[in-house]
Amino acid sequence: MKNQTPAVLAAMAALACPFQAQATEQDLLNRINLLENRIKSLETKQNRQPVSGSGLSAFNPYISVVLNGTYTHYSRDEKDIIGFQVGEEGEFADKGFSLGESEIMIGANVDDKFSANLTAAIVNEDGEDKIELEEAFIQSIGLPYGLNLTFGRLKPVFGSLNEKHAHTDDFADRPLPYRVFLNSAYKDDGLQLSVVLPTDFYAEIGGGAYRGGYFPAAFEGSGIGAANSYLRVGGDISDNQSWLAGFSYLYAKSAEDGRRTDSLRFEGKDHLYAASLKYSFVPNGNNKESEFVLSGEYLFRNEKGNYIDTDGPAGKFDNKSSGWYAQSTFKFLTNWKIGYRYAQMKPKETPAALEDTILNAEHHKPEMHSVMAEWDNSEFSRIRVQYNRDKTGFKNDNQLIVQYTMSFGAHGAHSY
Amino acid sequence: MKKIIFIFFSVLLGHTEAFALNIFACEPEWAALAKEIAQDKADIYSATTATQDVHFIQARPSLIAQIRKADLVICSGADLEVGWLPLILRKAGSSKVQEGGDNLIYASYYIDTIEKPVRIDRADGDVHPDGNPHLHLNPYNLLKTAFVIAEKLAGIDPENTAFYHENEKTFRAVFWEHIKRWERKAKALNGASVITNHRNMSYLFDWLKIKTAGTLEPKPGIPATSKHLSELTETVRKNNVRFIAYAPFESPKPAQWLSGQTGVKAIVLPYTVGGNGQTKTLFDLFENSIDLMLQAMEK
Repeated sequence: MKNQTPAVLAAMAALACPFQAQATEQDLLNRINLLENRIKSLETKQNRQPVSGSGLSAFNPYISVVLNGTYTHYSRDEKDIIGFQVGEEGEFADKGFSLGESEIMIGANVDDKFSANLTAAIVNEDGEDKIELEEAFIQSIGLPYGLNLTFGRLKPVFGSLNEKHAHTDDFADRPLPYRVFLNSAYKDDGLQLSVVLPTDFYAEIGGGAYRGGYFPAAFEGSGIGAANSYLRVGGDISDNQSWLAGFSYLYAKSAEDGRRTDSLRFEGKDHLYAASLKYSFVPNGNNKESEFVLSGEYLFRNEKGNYIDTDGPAGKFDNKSSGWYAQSTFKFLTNWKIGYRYAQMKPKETPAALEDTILNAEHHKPEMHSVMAEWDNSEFSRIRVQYNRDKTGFKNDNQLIVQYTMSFGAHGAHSY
Repeated sequence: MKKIIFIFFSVLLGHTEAFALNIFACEPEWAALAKEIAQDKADIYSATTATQDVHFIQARPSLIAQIRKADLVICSGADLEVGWLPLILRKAGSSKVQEGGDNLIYASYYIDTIEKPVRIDRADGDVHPDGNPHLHLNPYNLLKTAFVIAEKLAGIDPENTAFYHENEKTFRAVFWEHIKRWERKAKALNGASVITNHRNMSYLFDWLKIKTAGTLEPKPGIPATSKHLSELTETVRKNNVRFIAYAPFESPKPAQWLSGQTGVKAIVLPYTVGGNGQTKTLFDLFENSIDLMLQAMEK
């Protein structure tokens, strides 16, 4: 954008010249007027001149790549969380060395009214590398009343984590309630409308309607298979303390063939609710040096329908289950951060017909303690070690996860 | 009841804010400059304080709320705010201020930036392709930006065009006199060699013809390492370094270590308005910086 014309430079140089220090007031005003005219002419010139790197390449979108990989060690063989039907993304990661999701993000403004984003994840499923379309959405620019419209494939706002990319998380795995209720993150095709209210504190409301093609929904008919709505409020308490609270609702329908996992099928409706709270304390407001964050969420699910054991009978289900987690992270040096998280799930009694399935938790409450330490060489590279005391199976287990996350290319900011 | 509903909707649609303009300044220096020109005609919010490293600001909820209300946004540009400003603009979805729109001022558009990198590679640390973005520390750059702010304010609020330009002219005339006085006062600093933590004082040093012999960071944005610091002790001796300067938001440890090893004074310069107790205005910023540097020169 900087097309410095020699004329402007000459004017600036004239202003800076020390031998004119004894200028009279009239001289000074003359020179200021000259400067004004120069800046005016610079502004109009800017509008006409192409930016550097002209030609087709000037319109290249930004590209950003995130590579991450893990080494995971644990003893038990099942990947399930007892008491719940868990989707593939919510299960425990493969043992040993494995690449997590390698993500490619591409984005650009389409024109003055729309911007577009595409996120593709390259994942390994059963020994085969596949490309999964994580997000492909269009966002409006400058709608009246501060309205924001997003449509395409997106991660709807639910709780505090659903719409965020996993590489921005504070732990190597998503907390239990997200893994169980949302298959780690719920994505779908549809549209979402939101507005930030013009208030002194932050208040945002929004909602959307979706196809219902992904866990926890499994809907293939015409019409709406899933919907969400949310409210978020937040602000600063002082120069070094901030908070954010959110309430969200997600409706998901599973019909016809139902929501399938290895041995279970669900037909019915999910009503999911989340209440989230985050508080951060940053000495002097300078989060480059240190930061203390406390956050927690409570997720509640009301499930109405039938679970069908693919090898056995069906059971009617009208089940209220819930889960919550609380975590704290502390950045104690520029490059170092540690964290602790506790998560717990509360499954409900299972009907007799489903007693032989994973849904039967036998009064066991899945829970997990996690501690992690990470080293960030820069904002683009991170190496993390995490230990989980895992009580999500009938037998307690210890898990060790070593993870690296590297991002390169144009890389935007992460949300609060 | 009707009245209550009316008030509710006015608040919702922002009608109660029609009285004053809202200016969102990314940094305290632009808030101070905007105040000189808009005076009581605008509510001015500074997104950051002097104790924050503006490269690393979180897109906090409060920032989204403030930029949502803003009629004018003033920032340094040259990618200084690239880590957070685009995100809060997108989240706020403001119909008044957008990236590339008229009501967003990047001072770097109007100023010839210095220290443009010859190659763009993250292996060189946190490089800024458009040059050094800490451009407010050359006072001449404030003269230029003052004019731009007045022009933009006049565009948004045409009724007060004369008022804004009057204030801007007065500011520039007074500031000009001070610049000339500061240049005379700081003569002793001409040609001195110094070390800084990050190249965020370069415009100040460039203006006063001070040479930067080295930085405590081995590469921009990469914290000081012990190996690099011990190399710097040699640099200090060879170049007759007169003082080590760092900003209020930077860790004092590397500077103090080097100072302890070499006997050269380490000083905290205010960097921006509010950077220390004496720096309440843009005038104080330069006055105080020069005073501190002159004091550090005394042996």
